[in-house]
Amino acid sequence: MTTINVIRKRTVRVQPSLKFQFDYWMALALAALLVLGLLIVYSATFDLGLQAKEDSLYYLKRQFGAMILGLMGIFIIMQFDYHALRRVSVPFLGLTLVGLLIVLFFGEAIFGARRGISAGSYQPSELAKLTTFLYIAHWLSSKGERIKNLTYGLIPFSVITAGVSALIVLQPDLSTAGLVTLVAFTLFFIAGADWRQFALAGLLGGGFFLIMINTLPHAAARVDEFKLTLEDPSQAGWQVKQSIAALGQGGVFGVGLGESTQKFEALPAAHTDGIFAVLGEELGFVGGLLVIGLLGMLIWRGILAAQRARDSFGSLLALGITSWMAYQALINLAVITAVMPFTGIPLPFISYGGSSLLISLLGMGILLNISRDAAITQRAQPRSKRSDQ
Amino acid sequence: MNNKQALNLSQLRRLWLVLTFVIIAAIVIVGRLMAFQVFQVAPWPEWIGGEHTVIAQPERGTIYDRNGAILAANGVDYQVSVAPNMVTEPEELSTALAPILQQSRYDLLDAFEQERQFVMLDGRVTAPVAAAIDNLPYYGIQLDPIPRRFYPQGKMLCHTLGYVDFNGDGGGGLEGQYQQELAGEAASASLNDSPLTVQESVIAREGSDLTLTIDRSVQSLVEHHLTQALDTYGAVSGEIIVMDPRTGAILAMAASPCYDPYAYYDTEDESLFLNPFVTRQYEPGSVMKLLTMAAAIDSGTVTPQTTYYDAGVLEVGGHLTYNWDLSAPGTTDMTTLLARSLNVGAATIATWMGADTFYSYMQRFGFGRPTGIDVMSEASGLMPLPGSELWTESFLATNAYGQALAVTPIQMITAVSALANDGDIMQPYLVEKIGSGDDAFIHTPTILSRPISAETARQVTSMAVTAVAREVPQALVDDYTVAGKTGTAQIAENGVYLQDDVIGSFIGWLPADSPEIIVLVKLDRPETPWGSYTAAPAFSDLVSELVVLLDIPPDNVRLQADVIAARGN
Repeated sequence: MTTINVIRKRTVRVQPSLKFQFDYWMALALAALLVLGLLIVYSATFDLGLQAKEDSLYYLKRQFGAMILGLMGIFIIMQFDYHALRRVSVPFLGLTLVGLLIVLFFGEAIFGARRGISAGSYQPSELAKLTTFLYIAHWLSSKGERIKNLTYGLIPFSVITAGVSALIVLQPDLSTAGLVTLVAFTLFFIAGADWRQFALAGLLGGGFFLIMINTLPHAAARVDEFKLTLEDPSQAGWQVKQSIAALGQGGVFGVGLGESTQKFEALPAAHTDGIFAVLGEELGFVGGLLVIGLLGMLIWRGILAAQRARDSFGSLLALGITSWMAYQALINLAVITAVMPFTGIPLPFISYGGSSLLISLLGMGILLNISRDAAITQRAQPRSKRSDQ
Repeated sequence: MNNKQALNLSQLRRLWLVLTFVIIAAIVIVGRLMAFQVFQVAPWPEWIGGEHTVIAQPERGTIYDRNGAILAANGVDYQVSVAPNMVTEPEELSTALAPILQQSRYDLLDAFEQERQFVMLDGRVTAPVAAAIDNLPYYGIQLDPIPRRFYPQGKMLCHTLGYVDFNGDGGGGLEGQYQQELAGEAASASLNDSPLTVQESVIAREGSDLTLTIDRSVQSLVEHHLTQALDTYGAVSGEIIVMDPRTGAILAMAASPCYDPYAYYDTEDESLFLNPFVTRQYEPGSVMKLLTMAAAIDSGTVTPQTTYYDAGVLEVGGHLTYNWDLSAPGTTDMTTLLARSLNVGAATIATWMGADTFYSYMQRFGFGRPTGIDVMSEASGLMPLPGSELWTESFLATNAYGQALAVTPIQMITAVSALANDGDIMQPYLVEKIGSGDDAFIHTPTILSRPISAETARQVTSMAVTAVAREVPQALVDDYTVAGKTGTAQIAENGVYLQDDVIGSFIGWLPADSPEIIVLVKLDRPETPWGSYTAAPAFSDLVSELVVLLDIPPDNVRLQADVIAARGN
């Protein structure tokens, strides 16, 4: 069957009585992360806000605003059957590519990189994550077994992924490009890619990534620094040392909410990419474990939703969003705990950053939608023989 | 069962494979967290920058003149640095900054590319330059204030005030002498980076203000006259000191040439930093005859009426002394000796006194040791005494008319002030008050020494009045009785007297019967060699205006007032 046929068969409206039948465990974990995130963002930004904007609440307000927008987004997404997204996945991807191009040519450079428009406030690369995964899920599910075929599978897949990644690499934002590629590969792999083709694509992508790391000067410097760190922790760079110091200072139970001292001068990007170090200092190992546990719960519920989804589009989309959250969290935590070279990637739901939070919440909206749909479908199973396979 | 699920078995297996990697990664991260947070494996206390030691520098005290006008105060300069990773428009910024900082655009661009948190661009720029930089519409430049000493009166009083170097240490003059009092006491303390910690003041002692005996108006007048005198007589340098002989207070101290205390580091001639009042020494010449005469009268060797026979030449210790004009006036009294400034006469009465008496008086006048004035780097001068290797017998004669010895200007005026203050030398001083309020230290005038009796002082003063009136009318001031003496000294360089260059000086005090001021005028290497034609008229010009400014009434007015007051009693 063709893609068009698949879409037309689905109803797009959700029955009003079923609108609030979503996954409460997932929602609970998300709510807990959001509350924790706001607390830590305020703790990490009141001084910065006072100094930079003469308003200690400046950053908290912006973060809260993005959160409200995201929650409204979730509410709107929950009004529809997520299959409606199949129709818009192509225009969305097109819009994203246009956004990335605009940034490349007209964006404002911050810290030597062009990542946003309007003083870095809106970052299309964040949007690119969601729309790329949406498109890939749509595309992979419409191909079925044909993705094992070179012409229908690997080549178009590589073109899509490499195209988006290249635009992000050019900003240059190697870590986001890497994340997008990694999630795309995960989807391609799980969807049923041919092992040999997958290995070939992996080799090509990995090789390209290695070349980029060694070519981009800031990336190369960080990798060199990381190699030194592995040999001798006291050789670590300033950023790594300061985040480890924050964690160490926090100990098991933390110094208490708001009491972190590393966030003031020492810790770079304390409110964005380095926020887990602040959290670890204020809430200790226990607090860090809580956050990891909550993220784990989100991921677990996401995988469950993928398993139970009505069709492979739902499955792949759920997996895409889940693996995106998982990888992003893992990379961020790996950097903070000095398992990986320093790279700027935010911790989902916790780090300060409007675009990142908004897009993550929209992703969660879709995930909640898929899990609700899965639950409804499973209950309706005895009365329905519909299946994608 | 699986037919209702979207994922087939193979896909599920692949999912579990991915999940396994994720779980392993998560376990590694939790392990690392445990290592850092629970087992504390990292030596992080060494890395932490939570506290840093600061030296808190109290604000340096202000220097005021006796009426409260500010002579030295504090301001700020700025240190210009750049945070390279904050620079968003390096091209524009470097173009705008290059002319302001007067650095090349390429050097600036180079600095913007360094991989450091801060790069210093200029260690010190003035506030207007900093304001210009602050107004640039680009990010990344940081301006940090650093203290800088300001002298609102410009070069006025330069050698007396001294200067403050960029470490905050006073160099020379009062800034150097009163470094401790002015600077206060710095304290070091550990300050927490966190704004959550309340910081206590760590200053140990605030800097104290100084109030000087100097009067800014008097100083300004004196400096004006000095400049004029140098110009008129073609002298290369010179000093004028105005002192109150009754207290030792210095009312004005002018020297030229001067360095700029604000931009002292731009001074090309290093020798300008030698204080000409207290460090540089010269041969006083004939002014010394006043003191030789005072010693002779005080010791009873002569009276003002004593006469001696002047043959125009006198041999002492193998050295022949001649009069300056090579005259031989024959039988001469003491007043004429002073008036005509006869070297033979001065040498004669010194030999009458004998070396013991002469040098004991000279020591009481303070030669060969610092006066103790409160200015940095005071020199002792040089007057070799009998018994010292440097002394030979002929010095008794030459010293008597001011040769073969070295004095500082402050030493000379202080010694002569005995004649103007009934035989008492007061401790010369510049700082009237240190600090303010109840804790302030206020100077009490003290007697430094009493070389001669009041009677001797009055006798020598009246001889000096006659001498000035008779031979140096250029020094006279209308309506005031002036006592004084000129001096013309040769300049010795490398042990040889220079042929043409001299130092012309005049010390005068008035009103002669009750002196209120004593003034030293010293002009170096004027075109006209004789002190009576250079320093003396400069003295007269200055003092005729000074008496108005200092409100010293003319003699007849004052004497009438005394008569009226006496009648009233």
